[in-house]
Amino acid sequence: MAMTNDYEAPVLAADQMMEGDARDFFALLKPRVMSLVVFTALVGLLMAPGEIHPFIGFIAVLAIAVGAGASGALNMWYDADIDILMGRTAKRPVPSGRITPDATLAFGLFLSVFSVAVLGLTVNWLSAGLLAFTIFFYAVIYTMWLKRSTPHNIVIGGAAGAFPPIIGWACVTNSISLESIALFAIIFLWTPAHFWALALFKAEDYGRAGVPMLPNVSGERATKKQIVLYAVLTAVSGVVPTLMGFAGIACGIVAAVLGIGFIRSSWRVFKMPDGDEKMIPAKKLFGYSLLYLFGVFTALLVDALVQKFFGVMV
Amino acid sequence: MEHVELSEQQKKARRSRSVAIAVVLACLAVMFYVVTIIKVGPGIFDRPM
Amino acid sequence: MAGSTVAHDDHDHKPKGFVRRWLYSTNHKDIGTLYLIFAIMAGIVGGLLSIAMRMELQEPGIQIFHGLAAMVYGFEGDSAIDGGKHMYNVFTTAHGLIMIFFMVMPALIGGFANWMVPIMIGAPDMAFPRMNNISFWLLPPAFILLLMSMFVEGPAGAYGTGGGWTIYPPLSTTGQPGPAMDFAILSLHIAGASSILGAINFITTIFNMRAPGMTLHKMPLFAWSVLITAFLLLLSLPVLAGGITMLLTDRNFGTAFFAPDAGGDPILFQHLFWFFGHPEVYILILPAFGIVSHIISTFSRKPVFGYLGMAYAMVAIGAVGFIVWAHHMYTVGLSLNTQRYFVFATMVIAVPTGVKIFSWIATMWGGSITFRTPMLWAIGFIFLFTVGGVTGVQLANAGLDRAMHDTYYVVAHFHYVLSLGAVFAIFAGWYYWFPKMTGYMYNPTVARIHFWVTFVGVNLVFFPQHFLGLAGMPRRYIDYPDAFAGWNAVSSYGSYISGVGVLIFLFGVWEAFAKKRIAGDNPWGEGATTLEWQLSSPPPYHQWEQLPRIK
Repeated sequence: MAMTNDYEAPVLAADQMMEGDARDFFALLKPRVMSLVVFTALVGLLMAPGEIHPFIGFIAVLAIAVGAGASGALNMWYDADIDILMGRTAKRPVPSGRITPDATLAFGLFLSVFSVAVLGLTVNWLSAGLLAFTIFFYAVIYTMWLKRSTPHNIVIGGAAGAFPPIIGWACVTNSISLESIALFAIIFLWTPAHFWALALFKAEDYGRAGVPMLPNVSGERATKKQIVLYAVLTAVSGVVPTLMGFAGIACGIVAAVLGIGFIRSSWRVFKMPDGDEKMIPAKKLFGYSLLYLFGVFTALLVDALVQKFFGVMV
Repeated sequence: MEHVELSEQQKKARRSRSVAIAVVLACLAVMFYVVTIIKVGPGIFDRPM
Repeated sequence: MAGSTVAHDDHDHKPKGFVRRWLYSTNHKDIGTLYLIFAIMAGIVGGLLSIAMRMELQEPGIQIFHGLAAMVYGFEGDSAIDGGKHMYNVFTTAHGLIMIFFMVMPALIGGFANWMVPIMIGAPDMAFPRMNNISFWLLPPAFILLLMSMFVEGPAGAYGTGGGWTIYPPLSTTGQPGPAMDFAILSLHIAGASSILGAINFITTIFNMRAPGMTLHKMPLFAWSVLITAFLLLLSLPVLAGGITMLLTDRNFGTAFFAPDAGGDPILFQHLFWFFGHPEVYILILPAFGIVSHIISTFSRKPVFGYLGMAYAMVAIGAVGFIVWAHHMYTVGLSLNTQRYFVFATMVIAVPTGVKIFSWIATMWGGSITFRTPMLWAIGFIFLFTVGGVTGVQLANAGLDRAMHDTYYVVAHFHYVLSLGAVFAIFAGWYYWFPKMTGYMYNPTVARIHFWVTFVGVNLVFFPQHFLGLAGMPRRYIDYPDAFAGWNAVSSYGSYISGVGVLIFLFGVWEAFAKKRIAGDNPWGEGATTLEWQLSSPPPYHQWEQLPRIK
């Protein structure tokens, strides 16, 4: 296979029998990323004006989730050589030798094609096309190209993670609108601060693997500046749905409060002295960023449900 | 030809994968059946006559 | 290695006793054998129905069906004429359903795939041996239900369901209120359930039971073809099941999915049916492609030309097969743009199919060819399937189809790809694997006579039907104007010759078992490279107890 290993690794050769079971294959789908995708796609689907049969909606979210998972599997196939060098990822099924790279590639490609086809046949071909583009963007543009070549990898690559609400929206309306782009923007702008916080305290790992993350390339100071910048942008984008009028005031208030917290947390990272070994503010920011995204989208979800079932905007 | 004896763990893993694939495929078949009836069934009553 | 397989001792743990060995069987080879026997029996029934139809059509006027109706259903006097007319349509319907669901599918998928796929991929058995048993044993009750439907009331005052295998409403709903249609629907449901279980089993087996080193891109083409076929089954059969469920509720529970007077739409059923029906024709032919690839390669002593192209051509055929269904419905009033799309998409399928035909020819090119019996059938397949493919490209044109729709031209077309395509591949596979499955060599002379008699017979049946169709003779009628008499007579003679061919086939099977000529592990020489030829003939009851490592 195309996979050439120029490193000593317990990666399985194709004529070895696998020990990976169904759970390992599930792990290839990056279930934690997938849960975020399910959540944001569902918000897009519920916020969109119009009706969708609940069962079709269920299939739509499922197909989007599987498509996202498939791109995760393709990512793990391609990145096995660097995953093995990083403590965070060395236990993944491919670098730990539980699943062959061949099987991973086949699994990823197969699920990609299948999820797109199912979404197209059961929902509509615009959302299927968007899903296909998302998979392509993450697996090829981000994983194969940007990730190893530019410190802005995460900025541009973040688009892949931001697409699900647009797809969910398109499942209902068969169109892309400014509203769904606003949802896209929240995740898109959120991603850099989230990952750079991680990159700060995992800089050594990324350095060993040769992935050009911002702290390794431009240094801590520049990274911290960028984090604050993106945190501000994220906080603003969080209230845009309310300003645009498709989310309620209550939702806007929640987003604003969470956004202020996000900026404050990023400011603490900025204040952190260079060369700090423990990086506690960065770790806190990483955790808080997850809470932020979850909180904002929960607010949007509740807002959408209230609008759907009670017909009022709170 | 070279022959391989599978370890217990490999056999267990293979069985677990088999069952998972079968369950997924069965769900898929049921899903398509339901979608057929949902998409074309009541849908035809919505159409302008 | 040759001969001394991994069988470690003499007794191979076969279950003792007929019931335990065959009725409770979970062994893929035994179940494959059951499927093959079932397919032969169903094929004989379906073949007899078709010969009765050709006897009727041998001359203008009504020859035998009023007599048959009087004999079977007890009609008297003039009512026997009407009863006979309906009975003729019952025969066409049953012939189609039996040949598709109970002959070709069980032979190719249940029979050969069950037998050979696990061996070819280096697996000890299917992934779910007990489910395999259920898949098979659902078929006989389905077949019996279909046969029973011929003897219960269909339309008022007549017996059996006569709406054609496509069972379009309203003829299949208000047109035939009797229970015959319900029997047929239930039969299809059960046969469909059997196929879906089989498909799940094959996909799981091929994805997960391959020997170490047997990557997807090293897998024999027959296994590839079965994998794709299984996916087509899995995706299309639920749609048919949905359609016929709605048909059933329309008939019995007062729904109106397909009843226009209550807001339904009968055309909708046609969309549903053909969304299943078109992939179904690829389900019937893809395994045949796989078998033919192996045979052409074996008897040319060359690896198959363009292996990956061959595999992905089948994937392409399977995928495109899902988006061309409405070319069966050009005459229902599709919009012009819809027709344009379906013409284009249908013609696209000719591309991967052409890739396959040319790759087979390229495999033979420069090869050291021996014309043993399987090779005869395989080359016959390529030739005849191409004829059917060419008429298919013609019929893909909506404009031309307007004139040809529901004429004998269509009948000739799909019999060239099925009766002369898929069936030739079944016989090719039969002679190719008979020595492996039984351990005995067939009699080459008898086998050759079988080939030539069948070749002449089926071509005599179906080639003249092109002329009849072009002249405007519609299908599904018991009678025709005198102008069509000549070619109809030729066609009927052909069917008798084909019938003799079947008798020769059965004689050949009996002869091989009577004479017991030992075939040896690999009767085909170095051209036969797939794993089944590494085993003894017949293979041990449990093969690959230690998995082979594929380099």
